[in-house]
Amino acid sequence: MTINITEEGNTITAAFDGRLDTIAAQQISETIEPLLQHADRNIILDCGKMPFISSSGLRIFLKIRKEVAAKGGKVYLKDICPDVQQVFKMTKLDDLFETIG
Amino acid sequence: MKDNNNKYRFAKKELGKISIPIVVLFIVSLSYYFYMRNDALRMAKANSEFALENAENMILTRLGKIQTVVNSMQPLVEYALDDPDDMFDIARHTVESSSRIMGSGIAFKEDYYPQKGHWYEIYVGHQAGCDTLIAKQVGSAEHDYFQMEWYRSGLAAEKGVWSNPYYDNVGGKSYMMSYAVPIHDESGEVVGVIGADITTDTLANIVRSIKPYPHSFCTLTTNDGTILVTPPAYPKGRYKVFTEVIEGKNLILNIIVPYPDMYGRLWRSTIFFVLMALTGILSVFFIAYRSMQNLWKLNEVRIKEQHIEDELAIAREIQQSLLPTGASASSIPKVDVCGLQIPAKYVGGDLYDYYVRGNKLFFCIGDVSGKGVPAALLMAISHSLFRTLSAHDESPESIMKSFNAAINDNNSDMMFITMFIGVLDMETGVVRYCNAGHNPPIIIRDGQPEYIATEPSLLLGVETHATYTAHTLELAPGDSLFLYTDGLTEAENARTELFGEKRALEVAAGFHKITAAEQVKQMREAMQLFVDHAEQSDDLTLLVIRHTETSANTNTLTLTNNINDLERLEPFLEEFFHQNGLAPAPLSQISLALEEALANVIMYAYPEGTQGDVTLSMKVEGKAICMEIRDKGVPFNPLQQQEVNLDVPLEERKIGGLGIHLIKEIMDSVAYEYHDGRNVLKLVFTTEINEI
Repeated sequence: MTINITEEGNTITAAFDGRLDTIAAQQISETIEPLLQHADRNIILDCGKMPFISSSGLRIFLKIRKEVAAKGGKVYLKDICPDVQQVFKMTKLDDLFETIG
Repeated sequence: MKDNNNKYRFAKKELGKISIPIVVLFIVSLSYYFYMRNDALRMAKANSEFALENAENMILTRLGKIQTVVNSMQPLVEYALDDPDDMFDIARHTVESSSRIMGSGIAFKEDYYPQKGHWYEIYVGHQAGCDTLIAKQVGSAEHDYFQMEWYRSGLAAEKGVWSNPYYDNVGGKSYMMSYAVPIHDESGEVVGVIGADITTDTLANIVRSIKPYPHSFCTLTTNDGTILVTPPAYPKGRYKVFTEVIEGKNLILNIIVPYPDMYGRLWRSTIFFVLMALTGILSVFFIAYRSMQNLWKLNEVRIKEQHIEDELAIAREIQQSLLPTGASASSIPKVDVCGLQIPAKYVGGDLYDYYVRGNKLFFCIGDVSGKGVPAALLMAISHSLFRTLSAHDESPESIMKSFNAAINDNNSDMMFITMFIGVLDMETGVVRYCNAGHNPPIIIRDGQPEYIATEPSLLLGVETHATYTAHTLELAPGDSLFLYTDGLTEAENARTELFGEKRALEVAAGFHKITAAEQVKQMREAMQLFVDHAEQSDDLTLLVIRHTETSANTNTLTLTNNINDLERLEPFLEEFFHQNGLAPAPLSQISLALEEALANVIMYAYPEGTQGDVTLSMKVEGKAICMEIRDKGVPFNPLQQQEVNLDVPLEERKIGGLGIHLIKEIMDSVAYEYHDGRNVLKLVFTTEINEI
């Protein structure tokens, strides 16, 4: 799992590449630090290259959302694939995130 | 009370709707009445005016005749002016010319005939109570005609003139009218007046003949209000007066029309109209009231039905909860069990049950006579009887005997039960069974189905001392026992054909190497296809006991409690799917569930710093994928963890629990047990969702 973070104006895009499973979730907890620091901006989580998410992965997303909610930014999910979408649905988290793309 | 309020509100609403036509009817009636009343008034006015004009003409004609007589005397008087005594003959002639003339006078100006004195007035006339005419000179200081109105107006007139009516207290002793014509001498100077009197009574018969309405009256008055002709009696109640003034005669004609004459027709037609309208409205009220009563009744019935339906729905739930669950089936080793029950009504009289005690599987299927609630009650009793009786007894015939004895106790309603009880030794595959009048099950060996041929015993509830015989059959690995109730074989299609045992057998011929759940599903589909849209008339129950083949295709993966070991899960799963020729569609979901389950063990089962293993074994059974996760860590039942409440806002949710929730969402059954120092988590995934 690699995460490519880019900034453009008031928007930060984090592109996830690979499976966000239990192992990956442990590995990226530091990588997402910049996202949490800039949680007052618009954050786009680009899931176009993420075929899989586990509950640990969900927790990472929830952590970002919580921080964003506290600091007044916005978070969007981009290009989410059907399998991952299904996991959001099963946990009823699909209503908590706005999706784009 | 609440009910009454509803009723009241309902009635108010409905009656409110009815009040609209009533108001409309009321307005229409009123408009009709006033329109017709105006019309009647206009008619009365026209009728009266016509009658009055008629009367006026008749009066004028009558007076005109008098005028003609007097006018014709004028030249005679003027010719005879030289002889004052000739005037008697002329006056007499005048009186005799018309029966209506009461008297005639010829009066001259002061001192016209010096020999006759200051006053000279000849009068000839009828006297009351006397047949003969009187004739005399009446002018005197006492009868100073110079001051009299008829004389003065006669002098002043150019031709003739009628006096106002006046009361004559000398001659006629009645109201009189006089017609006066001036007398001229040769030089044209006015020297006197010829007059003729009539009583106003001569006009009375004309006036009284005016009757435009049966009860109307006509009066004649002078214009100063003196009444000349009165009605015999004034009408009672209200009336309308129409007036005509006779020009030049100072006479006024009045017609008095009582209201009943004028408006009688209108009143009658209005009363008829209102009665009609009222009848209509009352009918509408009556119909509305009756239909509302019906609606209330219907509503009450509906509410009662709803109550009953609610209770039946609860009863259905309770009954369904008596049935063993798919989860309990998946925990049975070496045996694949699946049951299905669909009551024809809310609740039914069919039952089936199975459970494991020791290494034996106890199962039964039965059918209580009748349907609905009575059957369901006995079904519930039978269910608990089976559990109770089989708790300490492994012999089906003795269980059946006790069952029969219990049912026969107090069976005053003569409810019967057909029952098949079996006990399967899961080690050997030997089934001992006892059949009390139930449909013979199908046994499927090597894909060859056949009905069990043994003679059934007497059904339950008939004979207290009936004896029951047990038989034995062997279920080799791969063999199935297919049990059913008559809801299957006696299912009817629209042409009232039965599904029948032959068709059931034909369907069972396809039950080779497929899971119990699949057998149930296929049989039900075949039946539904046959029945098409016909209504289900009987409870349907299916139960399949299948001795599973000892699978050689069990794949095993053992991981250490290092999180990075999870990397091996994905390739293992891909290999498993490939080996078993499974469609890759559910791979992602199964992978997620297993990762959650394994990560849980790896991270929490063993204390920090200690080493431990977790083993995953997987196999395919029919269309089910069965998985087992075993570890020797601290006892932990994930199923007992509080279910994460997904409906509370995220901020209020506890972190954790998501993984277990995902496992439960994905898997068809999740069972946990702890024995021999091991946590065992059993997961089953079927590609088709079990319909039960």
